[in-house]
Amino acid sequence: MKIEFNFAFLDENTKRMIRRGLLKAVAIPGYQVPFGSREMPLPYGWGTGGIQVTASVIGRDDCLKVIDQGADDTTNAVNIRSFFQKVTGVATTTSTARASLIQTRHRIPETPLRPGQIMVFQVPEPEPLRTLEASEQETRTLHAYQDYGLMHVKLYEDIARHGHIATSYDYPVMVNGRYLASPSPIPKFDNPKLHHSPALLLFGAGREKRLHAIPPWTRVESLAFDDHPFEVQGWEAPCSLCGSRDSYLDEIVTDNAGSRLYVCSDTDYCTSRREEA
Amino acid sequence: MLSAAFSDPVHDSQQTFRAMLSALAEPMIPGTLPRLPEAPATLDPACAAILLTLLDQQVRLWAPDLTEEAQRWLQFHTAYTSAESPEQADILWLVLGHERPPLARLKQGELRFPDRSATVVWQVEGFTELGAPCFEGPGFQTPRRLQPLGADAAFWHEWQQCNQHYPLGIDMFFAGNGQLVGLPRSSRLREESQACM
Amino acid sequence: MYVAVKGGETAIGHAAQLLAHARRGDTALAELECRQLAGQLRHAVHRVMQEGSLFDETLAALALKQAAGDVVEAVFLLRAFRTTLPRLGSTRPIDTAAMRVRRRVSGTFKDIPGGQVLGPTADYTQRLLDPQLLQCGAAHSELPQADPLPNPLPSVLDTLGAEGLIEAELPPPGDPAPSDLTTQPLMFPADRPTRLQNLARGDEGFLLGLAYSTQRGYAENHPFAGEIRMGELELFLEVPELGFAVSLGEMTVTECQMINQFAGSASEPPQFTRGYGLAVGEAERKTMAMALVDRALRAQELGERITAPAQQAEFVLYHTDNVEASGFVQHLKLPHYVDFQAELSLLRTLRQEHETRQGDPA
Repeated sequence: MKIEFNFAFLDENTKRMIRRGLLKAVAIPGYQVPFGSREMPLPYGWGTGGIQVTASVIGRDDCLKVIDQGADDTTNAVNIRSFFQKVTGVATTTSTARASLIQTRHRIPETPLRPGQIMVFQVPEPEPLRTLEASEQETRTLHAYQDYGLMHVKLYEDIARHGHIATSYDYPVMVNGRYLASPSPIPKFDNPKLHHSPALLLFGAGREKRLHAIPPWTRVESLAFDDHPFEVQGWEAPCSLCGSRDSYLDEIVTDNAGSRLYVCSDTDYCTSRREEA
Repeated sequence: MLSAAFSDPVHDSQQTFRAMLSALAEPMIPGTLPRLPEAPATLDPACAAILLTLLDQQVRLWAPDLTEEAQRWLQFHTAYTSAESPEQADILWLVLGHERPPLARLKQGELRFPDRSATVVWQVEGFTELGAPCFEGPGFQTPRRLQPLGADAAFWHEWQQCNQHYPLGIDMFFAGNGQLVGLPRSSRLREESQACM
Repeated sequence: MYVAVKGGETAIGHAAQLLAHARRGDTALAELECRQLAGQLRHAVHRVMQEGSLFDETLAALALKQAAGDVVEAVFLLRAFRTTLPRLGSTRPIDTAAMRVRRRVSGTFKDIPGGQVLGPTADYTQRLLDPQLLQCGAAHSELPQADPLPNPLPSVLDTLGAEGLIEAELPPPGDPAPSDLTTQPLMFPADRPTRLQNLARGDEGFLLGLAYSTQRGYAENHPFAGEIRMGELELFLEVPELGFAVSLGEMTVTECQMINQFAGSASEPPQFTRGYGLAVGEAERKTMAMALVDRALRAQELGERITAPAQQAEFVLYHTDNVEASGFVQHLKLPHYVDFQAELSLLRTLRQEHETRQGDPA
C-alpha cells in the first residue's frame, strides 16, 4: 500500500473551504471565522491551525520560513518546515527578508516585514475573552455587541492588585477599532509590530477551528488606560551574542549557581547581525 | 463537449486565490490574475478563474447572466449549488451595468456571524481613477481613488448603504480582462472634503 | 561562551529511530502482524475505528501497531489519514431493525420477541486470569449452535411505543441532512444529531466518567437499558448515475436504547423519554455511556433544570475529543520560553515594586 498526498497535503475541497474562510477573515479584521478544521499529521497544539492556513495559501513559487519561539532551528519549527518540504517541495529559508511566507509560533521577527509578505500565526486559543467567560455562545454575543467590559474590568483589577496590567504575552488588541482579538501568545514586546503592518497577518486556530486576520495597514491597538499606557518589555543587558539592544531576549541559565546570559530569541536576526559585524 | 477550465487546477486555483487574497487585503489596487482558464463566451476568463477557485457543492451561486452553456460548464467543473433567490446566495456573479438585484437584498450576515454573508464577483471592462471616489480603511496605506468602468455615484451610494451596519455587509471583487480588484466591507468612502492621494 | 542550541533536525531524526526500536521490541520474538491485531484484539481495533471515525479494520490495526498499542495515539493516526480522503458520498441511513443480530439484551422485560441473546459477552464469566492464554495453542471449545433469529428483529421499545408509553422518535420537520462534524466546526446551540455525532467519536473514558456522574446524582435521569443490540448491517450507497443503491459491504454496529424517567406537560401525557447510543464495532460500554450522556444533554429540550456537567452542552461536547484534548494537554511540553521569559520579567518587576512599597515608611 502506497499513500500519496495532494500538493500541500489537504485535498482541494478542504483548501477551498479554508480559502473562503480566509477571505472573510480579511474582510472583517479581527473577527473569528469558524472553519471546518481537519486533523493534521501533527497534534493539535503543535500548530495545526497555522499548518492548515499555510497549506491553503502556499504555492510552488513561495519561499517558506518557519519559526518557533523566534528560532528556525527549534524542533517543532524544523518538523513543520520538513513537513512542507515533503508535501510541497517549495524552497525554504531562515531569512526573514527572503521569505514570502512565514509561519510562526509565539514571535514576530525583529527584521521588519515588507509589503507582499504573508505571516501565518499558530493560535492555541483565538478567543481573548475565554479565560473570563468559558462559554462560546456568550463570548460570541459579547463580540456581536462589542461588549468588552469584562476585559476592561480584568485589566483594571490587575492594576488595583499589582499596580500593572499583569499580562505579558497574548496581550489583547483592538483590531480596526471593532474587534477585540488575541494576537496569539506573542510577547507584548511584539504587539506594536501588528499596528500598520506592511504584511498580511493570518491567524489559524486548528483545535478551536477559527481563523482571523489583520490586513496590512490596519489599526491595531493594545488595550491600555490613560494613566497606565501600554509598555513593552526591556532588558538591561544587550544580547550576549550580537549586542543588540532592540530585540527580544531569551534568558539562559548557564550554571547551577544561577548565572544568566541574555540572547536574541530571533536566531536569524542575531546570526545576520553577527555576520555583518 | 464541454471546454476545459484551468490547465493545472491545483496550482492555477492556488495562484488565483493568492491574487484574490492580495486584492482583498489591499483593496482598490488593480492586480493581475496570473492563470486564466478557458471559459465559455460571455464569462470573462478573469471571472471564470475566480468562480473556479471559490465554488464547490457547499456554495450557493446566483448568476442570472450565465448562459445555459456557461452554467453547464461551471456545474461540471465546480459542482456548485444554484441559489433559488439572490437572498440565499453565498456568491453572486453579476455583470456591472446589467439588470441585477439591489445589493440590499443580499445576505449581509448576522451580528454573531457576520461571515454568513454574500460575496459579489462583478464582471467589468476595466478600471479608472477618473471621477472615482476615494476609499480608506484596513489595507489602505494611504487613501486611494479607483473604480471599475461603469460604476457611478448611485452605485457607490447603494454600496455604502449596504455596509453601513458594519461588520454586517458584503464583500466584492471586480474582474475583467485579466485584472482583479477587491473591495471588502471594511473599506469606507472618504469624505469629499478630505484630501485623497 | 554560550552557543545557541542547534541540531534540532538531528535530534528529531534520532528520536524517530529510538521510537522505531522501542516499538519493535525484542527482535528474537516474532513481529506482530496487523491481521493478528484485527483478529485477536478486536476491541482495541474497534475503539480506534470509532474514535478515529474511519471504518477500516486493517488501517486501524496498522495504526494500533504503529502506536505500539497506545489507543489515543492510534486514533490520532487514523484521523490524520482520514483528512486526506476525498468525500465521495453518503450511504443510506441504516436501519438497526435489519441488523443480523449477534447479541441483543433488554434490562426491562424478562422475555422479549426473539428472546434475550447473550452472544459473545464476558458479562457472566468470572474474571479470573486464564493461565492457559499464557501459552499459545490452547484447545478450542466448539462453537455453540443456536436457532437463527427472526429478521428483521424489531426493537423492544417499539412495543412501548405502540402503547404511547414512550416518546416517538421522529425526524425534525423536513428531515434535513444532519451537519457533518468531520467537515464543519461544532457550533452552538448544537442539535441532537450533531451532539450524537460528537459523542459517537468521543473518548470512551470521558463519556464513561460523565455517564457515571449522572448515575451518582449529577443529572439523575433514572435509566433502564431498554435494549442493547450488536451485529452486522449492510450499507448501501445511492448512485445517481445507476439509478439504484449498491451494497458497500457489512459493518458491525452496537446500539443502546435507554428508557428514561418520564416527562409530560399540560399538552402531553406522561411518557418515558429516550437516550440513544450507537457506534461502529462492538462498543457496549461506549454506547451505554453515550445514551446516558445523550439523555442528560436533552435537559433543556425537556424543560429540566441544568445543574450538572453532563447537561452542559458546551462543557461536554467541547471536551469529548481525545485527539484535541491529547494535543492541547501535551502541547505544554513544547518550548514556551518566550512567554515564560515575559512572565519572568513581569514577576520580577512586580516583586521589586512590592519590596519598594514594603520599605516605604508610609
